[in-house]
Amino acid sequence: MGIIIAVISGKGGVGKTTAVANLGLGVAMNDKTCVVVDFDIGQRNLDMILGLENRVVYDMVQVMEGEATVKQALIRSKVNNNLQFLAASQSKDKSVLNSDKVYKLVKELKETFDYVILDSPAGIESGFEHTIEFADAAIIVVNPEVSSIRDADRAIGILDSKSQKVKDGEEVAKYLVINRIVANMVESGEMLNSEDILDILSIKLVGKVPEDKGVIDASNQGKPVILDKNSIAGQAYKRISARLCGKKVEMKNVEVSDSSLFTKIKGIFR
Amino acid sequence: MQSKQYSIKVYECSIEDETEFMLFFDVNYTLFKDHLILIHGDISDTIKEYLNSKSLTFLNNINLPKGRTRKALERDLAHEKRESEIDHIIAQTELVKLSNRLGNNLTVLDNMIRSGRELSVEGDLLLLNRVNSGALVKTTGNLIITQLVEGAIRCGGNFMMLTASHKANVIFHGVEVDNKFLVDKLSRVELKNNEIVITPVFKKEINWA
Amino acid sequence: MFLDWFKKKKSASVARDRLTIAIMSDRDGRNIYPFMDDMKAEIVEVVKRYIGVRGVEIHKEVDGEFEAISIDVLLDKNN
Repeated sequence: MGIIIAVISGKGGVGKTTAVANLGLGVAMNDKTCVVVDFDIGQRNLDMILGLENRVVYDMVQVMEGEATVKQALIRSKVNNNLQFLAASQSKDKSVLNSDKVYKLVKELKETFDYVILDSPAGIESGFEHTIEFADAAIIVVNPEVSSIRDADRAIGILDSKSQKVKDGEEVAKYLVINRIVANMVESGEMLNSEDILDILSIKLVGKVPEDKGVIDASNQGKPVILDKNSIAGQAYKRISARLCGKKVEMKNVEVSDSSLFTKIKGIFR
Repeated sequence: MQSKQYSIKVYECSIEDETEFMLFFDVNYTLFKDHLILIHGDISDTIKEYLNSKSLTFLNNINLPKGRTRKALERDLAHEKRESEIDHIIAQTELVKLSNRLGNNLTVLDNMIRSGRELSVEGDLLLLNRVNSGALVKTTGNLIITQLVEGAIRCGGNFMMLTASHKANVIFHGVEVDNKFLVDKLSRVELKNNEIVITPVFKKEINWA
Repeated sequence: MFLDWFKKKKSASVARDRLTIAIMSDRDGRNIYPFMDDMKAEIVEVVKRYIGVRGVEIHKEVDGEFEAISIDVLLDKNN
């Protein structure tokens, strides 16, 4: 029996899809079977980040409507056999999502894969609610920035009141990923640090990902950044993936930049 | 067995330039003479001779276990203790919930049921101890056993709560319950709509941090 | 220019304070413990078996990193 992880954020553009692609691949690289599902109806993105956009034949709505089987719709990653992917529908009609059909789909995926990672749409509307509805765990992605954190808090609140698990009297495990950290800004007090963010959101931290130009490069090429050995963001995703697979990996302090003379002088004035 | 435990200091490196390496140790000898030198990558005979001549203890291409700090260990122990306390509270709550459903015809026992003993109870049973392999416990009603069951159980009630080992033979309402659902975890076995439903009392924890 | 640098230095702490306030007001009335009603009912049930119960009040206290729930059971005077 696998676990269903919903990746949410509240605010858009903070790095959910990138996180889903990289953690999905990361988990696959740790020898677990994984399926990543794009729940963003009408806004297909996950396929491009994975570099699989030319292989989509059937999408998840067609599966839910019975026009295709899960097997027919699943696309295997070019890079790792343990990773498969289910594309979002390109139709604008959000009403195609209904709880029974979503349940049937995620249940079938849960029985086939060790990890089922769902890429939630931004916002807190029905698409988001359907993504979290049957989740066992949630990964909340934030940027160290006021709007992102505030919106994330809203999303967490809704998760805690509307998911099925919560209705059953249980709790959905919630973990935070802080994305796009710029070390020297944190050091100079221009960017919120992880401690403050954790204080405000009160959930456990599963990883910190530094800002890295390599991420854009990776999506340009359709090769998730975790494959780039020189990328600090890629390395961060590697660490987080290992944690998701139960390995104890020490938290790297990405909020501290490499020692430079200037940084040392600034330090004296703090 | 006579033994001692103590900490040592390690200097870990890989050699890029042999002359630089030897010069480094010439200059910093006093600082590192009591360290264990851990070298990654192959070392030439020149280096080996050098290190021996300086009486420097070294290891090559070995991954040393990096012990955790005392703080980290204490934190982990505290965490485990909290978790087992929470588990204990959850078990107690489940116990209370189910105890409330135990009928007036209730037998409460505190003693271990030893091998060879056959215990038959009319009505409900609350057993605050374990059942050894070779023992048999039969109830016409419901059953709660708080410690490990290794023997045979015949429960004719609507529910039971127990933890079984793989040796146990559990029959609920005339149906043999597969051990794998009960082993190592405290479970609630209930008759719901003519179906046997087994729910583990503790849910599988997701722990990534 | 030096003053600018000092101002920038504090912006993260300004952000933190603003966020804390905004989120506190966002959260007001949000059901943080969805199981509270069921829990209250069960507590009443258990206590009722031993002694008359008039009501149950549950309070949440936060003190730094500790969060506690305190439960007051109001007993029936007549038992």
